[in-house]
Amino acid sequence: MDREVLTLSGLRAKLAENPKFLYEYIEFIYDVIDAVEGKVKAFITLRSKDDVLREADRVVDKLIEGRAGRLAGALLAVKDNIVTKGLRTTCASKILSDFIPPYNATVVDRILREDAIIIGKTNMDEFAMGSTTENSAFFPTRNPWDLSRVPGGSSGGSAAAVSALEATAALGTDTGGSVRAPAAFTATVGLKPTYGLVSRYGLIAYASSMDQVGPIGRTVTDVSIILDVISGRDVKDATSTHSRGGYREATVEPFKVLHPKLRVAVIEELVVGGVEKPVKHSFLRTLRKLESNGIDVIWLNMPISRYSLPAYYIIAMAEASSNLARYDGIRYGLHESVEGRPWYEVYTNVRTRGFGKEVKHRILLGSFVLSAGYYDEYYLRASKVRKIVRDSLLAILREHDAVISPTMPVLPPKLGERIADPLKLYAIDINTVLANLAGVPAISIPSDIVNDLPVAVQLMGNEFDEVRLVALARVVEGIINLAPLVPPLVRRYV
Amino acid sequence: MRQEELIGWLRRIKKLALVEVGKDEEEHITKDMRKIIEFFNTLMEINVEGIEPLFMTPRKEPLTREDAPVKGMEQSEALLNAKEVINGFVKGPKTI
Repeated sequence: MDREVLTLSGLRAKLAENPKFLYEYIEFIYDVIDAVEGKVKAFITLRSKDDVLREADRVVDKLIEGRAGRLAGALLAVKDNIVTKGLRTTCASKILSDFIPPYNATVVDRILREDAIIIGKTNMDEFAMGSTTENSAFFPTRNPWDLSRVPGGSSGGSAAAVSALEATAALGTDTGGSVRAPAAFTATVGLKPTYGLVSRYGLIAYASSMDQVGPIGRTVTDVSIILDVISGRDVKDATSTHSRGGYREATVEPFKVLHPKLRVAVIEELVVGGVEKPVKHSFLRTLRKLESNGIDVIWLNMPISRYSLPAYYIIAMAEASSNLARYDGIRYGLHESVEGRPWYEVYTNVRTRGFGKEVKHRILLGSFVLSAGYYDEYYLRASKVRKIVRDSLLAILREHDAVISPTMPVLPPKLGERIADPLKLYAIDINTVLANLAGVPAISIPSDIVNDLPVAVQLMGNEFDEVRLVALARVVEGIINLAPLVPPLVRRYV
Repeated sequence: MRQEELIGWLRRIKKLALVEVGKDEEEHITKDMRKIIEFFNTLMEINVEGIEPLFMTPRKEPLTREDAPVKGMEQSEALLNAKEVINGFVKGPKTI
């Protein structure tokens, strides 16, 4: 397949010229899926090629008539915690393994309205709790760059599908880095929008004050095209807000919205400490490239950032324990049919059978930090630390165009390497949780290939200023000049 | 926390959370919990006096929508995932 059409923007241009190319493109994607999905295992539910081809007929007609939407012909993979009407949505949990949603999430309605075709529902850590996609109740997803390694998580299936050319782009969700971590580990681009920019209606809740849906694509422009479509006020989510739009345009002419003299901040705490040597050296090389292209790099300190990880985990677990109280097996999901027992025993049996180990741990710890006697010391204190984190980060962002850091402090770990020790697993979220605590947008872009493995940088921007964040990300992407990257596993197809 | 304290705590919390933990799992779980709670305890190093907690990021737009009726989901659709339905109601197991 022609490399030009691997990106969403390239595909759009090609389809504008030749609408019937969509059939050839679908054949190509399914050929790749047939060849690699057995190894990568990105999807929990994959739609049949016949179903997709049938939907394509309608899209091709619209393209010919010149009334097709902005995502016409894009084959999008959707994370399995975003509900899709009539299409099984499991959250990678046994408790929802046969759940067929009776409605669409707002983001799903929006991508369908713009003529995207959903190719399938992607694997994830159960209820988005994890950073490696090993916590799926069904199977782990593998990194297309090295099948012995994790793709990151929790949106690991979405990122792996895009990376392995099994989808044009994807939707993931990000509560503490779950879009950016897998994007970083698979050499794709992942964007977590400002809290509230994208509706959460139909997103199965994990930690409601931090959850956001975000796009994963092969380039900054591709994720910006999707952001244009999914962002904006939705009456069904009271926390959603108006969107300025114009994200794609900002990536086409970045300096229309950016100052000619760019200033990015480096928070020292995010580069020292737990960052592995190869990642750190690569990051410093990237900084030198930016500087030699005229971008000012300013090092500074943010001491409170060291405490963001425990604050994040306390808040996320507290909110999770409350959100996951709804799973009782009565109205939907895994069912307990034993009669004549106390109600709490019925609920407890379903939940014990239905939830995996990590989910149970987080529910238990969340109940603990909210319980009488511990609430003040843990949950309330963490919420105060969150306030300090947000104020400190906003102060830095007022003076700089963005904060830059390695997205992940490590190279993609081997399967099993992190999962056994919870603190080792949580530690790799150190650079991503800040944006969720503060509510600001952040984007991960591939910056290097080290030992044949992807390395990425993260840019955090000011809240509701995605226009300048994606513009700057496009400038950085241009300087790095690697995109779009294709892993060796699928190189023979392009 | 000492091991006995942790196990006592776990037994109380699991009742609140409606999640069962087998006796054989207790040791493994409390080992993880101890590590995680120690990790949470690092927050005690910070002086948070006088700081207002932030439960969610502040927003500039109103939270409410216009109070106008909208058509919701059909009852039959809303009940699609229930294991048993009687006269438009979900039938649950008989409990005592």
